[in-house]
Amino acid sequence: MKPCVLGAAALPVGSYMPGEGATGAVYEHERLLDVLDMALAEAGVAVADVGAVIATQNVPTTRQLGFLSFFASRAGIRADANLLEVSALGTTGATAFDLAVNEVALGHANVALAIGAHFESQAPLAEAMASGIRAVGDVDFQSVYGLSPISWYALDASRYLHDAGASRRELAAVAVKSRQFAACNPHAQMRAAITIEDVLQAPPIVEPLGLLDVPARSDGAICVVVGRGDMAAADAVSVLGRGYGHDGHHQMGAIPHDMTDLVAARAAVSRALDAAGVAQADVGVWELYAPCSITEVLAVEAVGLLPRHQAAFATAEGRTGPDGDVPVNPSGGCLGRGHPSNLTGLYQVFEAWQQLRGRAGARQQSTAHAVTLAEGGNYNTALAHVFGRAG
Amino acid sequence: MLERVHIGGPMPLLPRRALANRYHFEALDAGRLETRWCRGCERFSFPPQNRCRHCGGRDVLWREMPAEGVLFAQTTMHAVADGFRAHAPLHIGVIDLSCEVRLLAWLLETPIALDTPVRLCALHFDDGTLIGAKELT
Repeated sequence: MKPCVLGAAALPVGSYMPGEGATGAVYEHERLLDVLDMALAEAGVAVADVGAVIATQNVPTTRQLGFLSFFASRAGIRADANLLEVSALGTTGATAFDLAVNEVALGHANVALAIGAHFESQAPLAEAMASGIRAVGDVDFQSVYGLSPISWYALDASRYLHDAGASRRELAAVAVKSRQFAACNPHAQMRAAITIEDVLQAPPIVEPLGLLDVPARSDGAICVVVGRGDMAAADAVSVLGRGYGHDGHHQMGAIPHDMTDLVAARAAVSRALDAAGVAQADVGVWELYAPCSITEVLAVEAVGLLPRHQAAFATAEGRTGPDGDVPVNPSGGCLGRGHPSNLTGLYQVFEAWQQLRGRAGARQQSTAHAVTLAEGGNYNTALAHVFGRAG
Repeated sequence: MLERVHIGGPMPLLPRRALANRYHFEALDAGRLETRWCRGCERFSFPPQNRCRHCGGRDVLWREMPAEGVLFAQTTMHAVADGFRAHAPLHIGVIDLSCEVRLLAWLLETPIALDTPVRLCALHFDDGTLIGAKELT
């Protein structure tokens, strides 16, 4: 039997990070202890059942280093399989989940946790940018020009708009519909409705993207409990398959090519669906990692939900929104639910689990299968998972 | 030779002048755009390294690249890291050279339509050089 998601819990994405020198504040591990207890209760397992914990590595602003060992001691966890902090750019959360599934599939543990806390909303922006430009570029040949993580997506946007004959107005529709989904998601950070004009008139950040085309700063904490298939209830959510892709580039590559065609995303999803034995047409929930409006458009096209150079127009027509025929990112995605970057892959799994358990409220999709897709760099790497109801 | 454009002051972020790439930066300071060229497959590798990125060959020479290309993508960055504030907003382009090399440059004129031919130039700071680009006229 395939490993199952036995339970999950998360903080609503938001702003939790205390300011420097705060007193009476609640720090990462206390938030995560609450989430852990909720997730274990949901899963119907005890702390003593946990054999492995795979955690997302904390951001540099976290004071407590060696976080996972520290946290396990506070939680009373005595792992007999693995305690591991992982870091893989934007795929960090999805990778933590992937490895937790492996711990169960390999027979190392009956129960494995994919877990993480991400506090960065109060960190000085200059610090975040200084480390960001070193992470998403060749430090000697790209970072020296000043490109920040989101500016790579801006470069994609300029090219996409040129090739597709689209405008900022169509991209803005991604931000608008993300808020529409988020309004139905109690775990979402950005739930207030916005209009196309709001997006177009927001201050430019990395042209052609403005403030509402790019993610806000987000904190979060989440725990996903993975267990053996035979431990799960009949209607539990199974992990049916996974797939990985890598385009061989670091950000833009060194050889001219179409960098708006996300080949790693396409490969990862195709491999995951093949491994799961699930047809794309049978998937009704797509949680695609997309920090910026343009990124969702490119990911939608890459995985084949809409034809090349059509997704921006289709989004503007409402097709990927709550009432559309190709709903995408029902959680609200990075622009609606929020983007605590190391955890985004785990919040995607959380949404897939909620959807397949029929707990998604007004954003509920009627489907037996969900796909999550996370990415690193400029979609240079991609990691996909396919979920299905066991019953 | 690349046109020399004086910027002055310190570079916002200094590249490391390493064994494998120091000559590239010294040549750029002198107005030449040089990188490694493979004698085996006769292709350029940029950024320069001692192993051809196409065939893995080690028989690589320094060779000058053409200073003209076309603009593939661009952005104007208003939110920039600390060291770059004096130069904000940053106009950055992705340039495709005819020798199968893609690189970054600061655009000295904006807007430039994508697919427009551009000419590279050398942006001189007190302690190094970045690649710039202007519309080819």
